[in-house]
Amino acid sequence: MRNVAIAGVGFSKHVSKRRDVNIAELVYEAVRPVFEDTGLSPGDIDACVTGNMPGFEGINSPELWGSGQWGGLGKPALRITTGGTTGSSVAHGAFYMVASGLYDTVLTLAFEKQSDGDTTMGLNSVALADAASQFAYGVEMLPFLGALGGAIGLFVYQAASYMHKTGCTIDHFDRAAAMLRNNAVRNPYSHLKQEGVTAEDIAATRMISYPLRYGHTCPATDGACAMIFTTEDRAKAITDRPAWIKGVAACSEEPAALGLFGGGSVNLVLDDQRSCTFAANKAYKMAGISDPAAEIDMAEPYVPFAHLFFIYFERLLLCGQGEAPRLFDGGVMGIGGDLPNCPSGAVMSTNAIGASAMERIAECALQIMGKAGEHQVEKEVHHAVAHGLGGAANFNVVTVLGDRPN
Amino acid sequence: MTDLENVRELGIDIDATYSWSVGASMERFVRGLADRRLLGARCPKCSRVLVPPRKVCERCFVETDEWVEVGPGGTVVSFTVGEVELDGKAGGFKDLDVPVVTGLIKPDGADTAFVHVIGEADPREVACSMRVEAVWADEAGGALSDLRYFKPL
Ligand SMILES: [Zn+2]
Repeated sequence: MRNVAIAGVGFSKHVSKRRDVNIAELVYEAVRPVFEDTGLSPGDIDACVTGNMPGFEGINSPELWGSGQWGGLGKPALRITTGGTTGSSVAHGAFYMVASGLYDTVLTLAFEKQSDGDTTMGLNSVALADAASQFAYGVEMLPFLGALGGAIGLFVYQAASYMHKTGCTIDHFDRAAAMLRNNAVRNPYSHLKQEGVTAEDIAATRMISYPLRYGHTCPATDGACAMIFTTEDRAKAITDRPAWIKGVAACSEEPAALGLFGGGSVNLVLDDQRSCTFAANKAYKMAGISDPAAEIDMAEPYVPFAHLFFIYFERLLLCGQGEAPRLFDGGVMGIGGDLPNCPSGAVMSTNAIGASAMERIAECALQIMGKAGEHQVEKEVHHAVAHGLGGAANFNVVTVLGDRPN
Repeated sequence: MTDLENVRELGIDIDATYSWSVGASMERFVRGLADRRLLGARCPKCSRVLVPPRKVCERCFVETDEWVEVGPGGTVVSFTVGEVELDGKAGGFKDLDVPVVTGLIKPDGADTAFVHVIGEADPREVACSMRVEAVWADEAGGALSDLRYFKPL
């Protein structure tokens, strides 16, 4: 298997509504900087992998509409759509292509233009079966699902279990949310920027559904991300400091609180996220990391709701099970901490769904390349872990990145 | 038995309303229609004029930077004559009172074509390579419908 590097990263602006551009134009805004940054042109690209959730915008095969305008004319185009994990699956697809030797340089594009879409249709593609069970029992879910863009119905049960088990409190969620919103202020590509927001401000937001408040949730975003995946030789010709993909793994498990009509759950420990730990173990092993808590320098788990900031820090084996709230209290997870967690501001601050999981990997790449600007973590980053969450909270994708090839 | 609710199927009505951004280039094209002008974007590298316009020339991967007026005359590249419409029942059709002719029209000065209605035309006489001309709405409102159809010359 060949070594694979990320040699360039590009973002569009991320805001709630980009009414002035269409999907093809929005994605082009992420493509242009990635070509400018790497000095590459479409002639250097061997294949394109794209990802979004077409059910949200209602535009089928956007990769075929847009890829010519994204530098992909006359090249293989492959769309990967796996729910919240879409972006991480896109990156893994590109990794497979380069690692296998089939293609040398692959352009990845992940995007969502949520303002074009319809909430009900969006739900149809990710959470309708879940919602249907609530309708069946006479519970009207749509008002708050509409406000939050999807899957909170399942996550509240998960958060309550986690709190019961660990002693984590809503106050922890308030403080984590405030930290993430402030991280987002320092990230030029983030959407929700609330300068100086405090835990008290978050605590004053409306309780949506116990134990999650409005301030613990993510926005719906229009945005796109582009990256260049390439071989060792080509990466070194493009940049002195590429970010290397060291380990990849994905794992699915029993669906939680899902099932057409009945709304049952075979999985009774929703916060366990065994598939995340399984994937993390596999990816760390591939990366040659035996003690992730000591060897990983920063983490970008997929955190659309505040409780996941704690759960995934644990499931990615960055501390013992149930220890994350205490470590957070001790200041470990801030931008200046020993193990920064979500320095980007997280999905909680920016959620262009198809792009979100790839942006976790892009953030780790920027941190390793030293290009994260104002939200660059204070410690040097040699190893980073990125994570994507999808499905009915039952699909986890883990990527380990490093500053040196294997 | 007739009192039993349907236990075999779960019916959910989905009412979807999208609001697609037409994009910066298309927005300018539609604004042009309000002035009865067909606008195309010229690629600075290959000089092709794209109608409807695009921000990026797909062949050259450069941004289009010049706007040019095309038409109102054009050439029929291909066409079809619609004879039926759906009658609302599964798989059912009913005859249209008047067949509808649509064509792929390449405006004069453009290097691309788009689909539009061919009006004031005898379906038996419509043919590829036929010359046509734009017919505008009496009152333009800045919408795609400002360009009503193309008629044979
Ligand atoms: Zn051109």
